[in-house]
Amino acid sequence: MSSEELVLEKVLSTGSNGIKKSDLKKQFTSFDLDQTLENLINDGKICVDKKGSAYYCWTPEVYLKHLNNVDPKFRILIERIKVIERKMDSHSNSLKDAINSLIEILKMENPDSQKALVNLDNFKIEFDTILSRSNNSIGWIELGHVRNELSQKFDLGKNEFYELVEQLVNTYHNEYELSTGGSEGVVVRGLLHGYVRGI
Amino acid sequence: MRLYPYGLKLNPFPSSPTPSFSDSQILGGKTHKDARQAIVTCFSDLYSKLHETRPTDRDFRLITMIQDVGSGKTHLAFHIKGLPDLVDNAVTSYIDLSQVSPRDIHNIYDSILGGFNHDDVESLRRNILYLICDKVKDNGKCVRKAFNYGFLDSLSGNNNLRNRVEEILKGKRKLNFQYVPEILSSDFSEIQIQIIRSLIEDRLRNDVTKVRSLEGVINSLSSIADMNLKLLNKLTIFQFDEFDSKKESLDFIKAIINAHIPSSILILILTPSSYDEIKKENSSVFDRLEKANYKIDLAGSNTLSELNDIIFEYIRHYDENNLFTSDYENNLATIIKLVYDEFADFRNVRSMLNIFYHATEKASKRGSYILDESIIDDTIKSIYPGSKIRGSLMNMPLSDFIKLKMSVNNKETIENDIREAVRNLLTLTNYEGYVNELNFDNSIGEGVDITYNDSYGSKIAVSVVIKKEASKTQAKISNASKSLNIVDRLVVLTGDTNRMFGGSSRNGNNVTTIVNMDNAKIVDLIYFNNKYKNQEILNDDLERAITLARSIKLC
Repeated sequence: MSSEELVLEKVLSTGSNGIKKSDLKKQFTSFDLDQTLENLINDGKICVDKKGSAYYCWTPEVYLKHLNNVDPKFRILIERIKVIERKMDSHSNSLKDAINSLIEILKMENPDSQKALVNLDNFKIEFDTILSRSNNSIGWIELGHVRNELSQKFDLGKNEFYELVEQLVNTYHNEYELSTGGSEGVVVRGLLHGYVRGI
Repeated sequence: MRLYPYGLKLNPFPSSPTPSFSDSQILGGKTHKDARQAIVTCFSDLYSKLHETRPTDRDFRLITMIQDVGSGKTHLAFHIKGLPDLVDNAVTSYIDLSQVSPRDIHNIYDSILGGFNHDDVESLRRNILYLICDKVKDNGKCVRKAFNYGFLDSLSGNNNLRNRVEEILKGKRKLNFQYVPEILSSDFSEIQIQIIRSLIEDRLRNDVTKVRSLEGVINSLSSIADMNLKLLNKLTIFQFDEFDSKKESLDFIKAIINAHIPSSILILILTPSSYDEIKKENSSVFDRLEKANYKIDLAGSNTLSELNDIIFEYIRHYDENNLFTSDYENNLATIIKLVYDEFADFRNVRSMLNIFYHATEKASKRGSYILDESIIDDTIKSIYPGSKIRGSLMNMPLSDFIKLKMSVNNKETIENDIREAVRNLLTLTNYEGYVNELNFDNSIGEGVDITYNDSYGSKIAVSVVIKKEASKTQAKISNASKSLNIVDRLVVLTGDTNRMFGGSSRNGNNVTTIVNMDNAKIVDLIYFNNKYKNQEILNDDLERAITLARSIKLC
């Protein structure tokens, strides 16, 4: 066991009271105690400070407790630091949440990630299902309504939805017809076509 | 004499943006003909019920006709109004609600009266006068006084009464109306006698303001319908076009439906959006519309077969000498299909007829016996200058598009053609500074056709996989993907539409971009290549070519 280990073990065993430097000197005579203590201080393993008229050695944790007990200024400072620490923790969590949400949004807005989920074939199947479920007696249904329903199935943005509708209607133009009006839809001949039905 | 294509003596297609009454007598298209049949059936059904019985409020029918703008609703309404089968048995009033403003009860009533044919109004007038004349047997004194019969007239008996009727109809004499209520009171109501007075004195529309309330208007309309049946043996049809969700329209129509005007048919013509707005605006009216006796469904009114049929119907109508043979018909059908497929904007009756009207005029001026693709191309360019072939970036003429589209279907040559086009496109973009370090030798690996550096210095590999079987396509893409160890991005140009939409896959930091090229893109590339090889790339073409390269993710 090295001289540092011997001294550290002794300091640890003394608990909250610490140990007088002079007591250590009496116990460890076979090596240069001052040099050993300096090494331990430099490594942050012990603290040496004056208590009363004598110098004492502590581990850092015990030394902090000691200061907390004997030094009111230190105690106040520690309290303040703890408050700051708690605030930092709270802000850090909020920041973490915000970043996570941002990542989710970015993931949703990344066309590559969602287009991979939708192709014209599976879009058509779901689109047709919604049209067939329509309880409107004349068969026409608002595209905005279809989009709302489809948004539960697919991770599709508004523009992407209407891109797909345009492709669907162009590819299968004998199966669907569009009609003007509505608040959102596909623009044909400069007119907003917001209604659709299957033929 | 100026001749039109197929030996026609005049341009068969309508030129106005909305149908005229004379054009509407031609009706083409299965959907439209089926709709006509549905209305005729409804009419015949009601007419047969009233043959020998007095009409009641059960003898009212409601028909809705709902379809998009430009699909032929108004055309059908006019056609019905002038249909020979119905003209003899129906009095029809067509009202365009978009022309009624402000939409108060007097204006709507006035428009309804104005919507009747002049001939029908004159017939009613004539029949009333002759009815009064015939009442001489029961009420000779009053009738003679009504016709201002003098002493000398009396000497000739009642023979001159009929001459008096004709004189009144010609405006040479006037009826002394103060005796008429007594003559007609047993057959007609007080309101009807008021209307008869207005009719005989030719003040029918001027007296509109005398009707004070909506109830009064409804009673007047009921009276007119009753007189039409009684005196002309005809049903009354009210056609309301451009019916919308404005409060005044809804209140009026609701009142008419509730009144169940006997021996009448109410036809409401509206768009799906108006129907939807009515649903939101007034559930009570919407519920009535939902319970219409007939819902005329013009589904498919803008499909290719329907448009073909409509266009042919116009030509055949004026083809007195049967010069429009099946060969011409087939050729024209090919052109119609082309316009239909490549110009999404023209996929409706109105737009298509407009194009064919102008194309026919152009063909006539050029002395062309047929309508061909170059005429259609020039027509579209002149009347719709902003139009272009669907998805095309290179602004190619329709005639070139037709030729190239055929070559695109050649599976043997198309892949090499595209590869060559991509090389030339990259050469051009290299010259313009968008890419550099082009390498057309396959030095990287199997499946890769071209490599180059983009403007950011990333190394790009291009693989062209067109018109191959799905398994071969997948194998080539797999092989090409191995190059991702060497390049930063792999662009796969494919024509396989069954693949997932666009999208990218990632291999470490490297990315494969799949570009699904539709026919328009492929034709664009071939068109560009032809121009490039012939050194015909001008300034505008240059910009379009760069846009084309960007659209297929080359730069």
